[in-house]
Amino acid sequence: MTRARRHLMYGWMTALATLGSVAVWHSRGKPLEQPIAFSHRVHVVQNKIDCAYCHEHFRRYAVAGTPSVELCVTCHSGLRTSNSEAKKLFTFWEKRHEIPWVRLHQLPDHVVFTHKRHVRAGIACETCHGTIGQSDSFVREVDHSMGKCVDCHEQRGASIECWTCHK
Amino acid sequence: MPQWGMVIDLDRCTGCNACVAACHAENNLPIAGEEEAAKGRSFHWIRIERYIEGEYPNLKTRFIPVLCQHCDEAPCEPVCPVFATYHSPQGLNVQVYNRCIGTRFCANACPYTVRHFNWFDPRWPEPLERQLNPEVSVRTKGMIEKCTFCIQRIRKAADLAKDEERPVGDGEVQPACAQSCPTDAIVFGDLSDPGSRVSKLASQRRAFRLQEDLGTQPRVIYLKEGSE
Repeated sequence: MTRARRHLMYGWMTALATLGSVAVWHSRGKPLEQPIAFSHRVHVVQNKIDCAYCHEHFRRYAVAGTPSVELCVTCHSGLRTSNSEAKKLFTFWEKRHEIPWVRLHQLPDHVVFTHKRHVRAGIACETCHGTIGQSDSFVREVDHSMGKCVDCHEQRGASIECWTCHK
Repeated sequence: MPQWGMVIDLDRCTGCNACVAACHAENNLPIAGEEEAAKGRSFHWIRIERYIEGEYPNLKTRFIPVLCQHCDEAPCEPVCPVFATYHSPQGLNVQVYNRCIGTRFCANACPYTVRHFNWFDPRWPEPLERQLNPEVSVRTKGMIEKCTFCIQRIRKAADLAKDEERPVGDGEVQPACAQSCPTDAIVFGDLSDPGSRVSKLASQRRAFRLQEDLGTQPRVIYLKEGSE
């Protein structure tokens, strides 16, 4: 590829990244409504539960994993509190229904992402997930646009070849 | 860095079309249907070309499976205005679907006619839409698509090798067509490794490439009949 072509390609990539960031900026900032007003802060900060206890796959697989209602009940069955939100958990459990959590981040179908590769490269959860671990609500804090991925890949010398991340 | 390539032994190919079916299943290829196929809008990343020699009843049929040749000097690459197709450092001619704007210049430039345009959103007769491969994106209307040498399998093998801190071994990556071939006519591997099975086969005297005179330098090497 000649230098002119490469520069034109980077130009395109920047333009797309800018458009992407505008779209993401619009969708950020509003807290998501969840079926149960779950608080990461109560679990992570107050009760010191490790991320991997609930998102059990993130070190070994592509997906981090959402905990099953069974896993929630494992702890909560011993502590039937007066907290009305926590009690909602048992309505799902009694019906044997999974909790329909709303995803905070959803990458498009044409993107390949593996948690494993990133965690093993020493990327902290906060780099992409912000302060969700200390938060009471679900707010998109971190930009998940292509420009952000490319910036980080360039800084760390990771591959920025299209097919590393696109399928 | 491995340089991926493929050898197809035409002496072994029986024209059974198992590779075509396997490719459809692996890569979420839509089914064009009879009507569209008649208009030349069929969808096959790999197809079996049939050549019949002689007059009935003294016939001899020859088959050539034709797929993207992953040319080193690919005619499809320089014509793309948005760089949706490019050459990867591992020698793959790569199509980035989400960049493609559907000019179809690449399909016109390809001398092997292995690039296909999505004229419609993909359709599958029931229940085939339930067996889509999650590791391959479903292409939508207005995109060009073609054989990727099953890049999702290459990616998976490379990921495993990286975890085990070793290079990808010979025979570890097998595209769907090679895996399904009952006569083992299709062999895939690293052409830069002189010890690999694909390199040894490619150095035989009966090796040739499709339309070699065009100077496209294909990565798919065919073996004609005869002895080594």
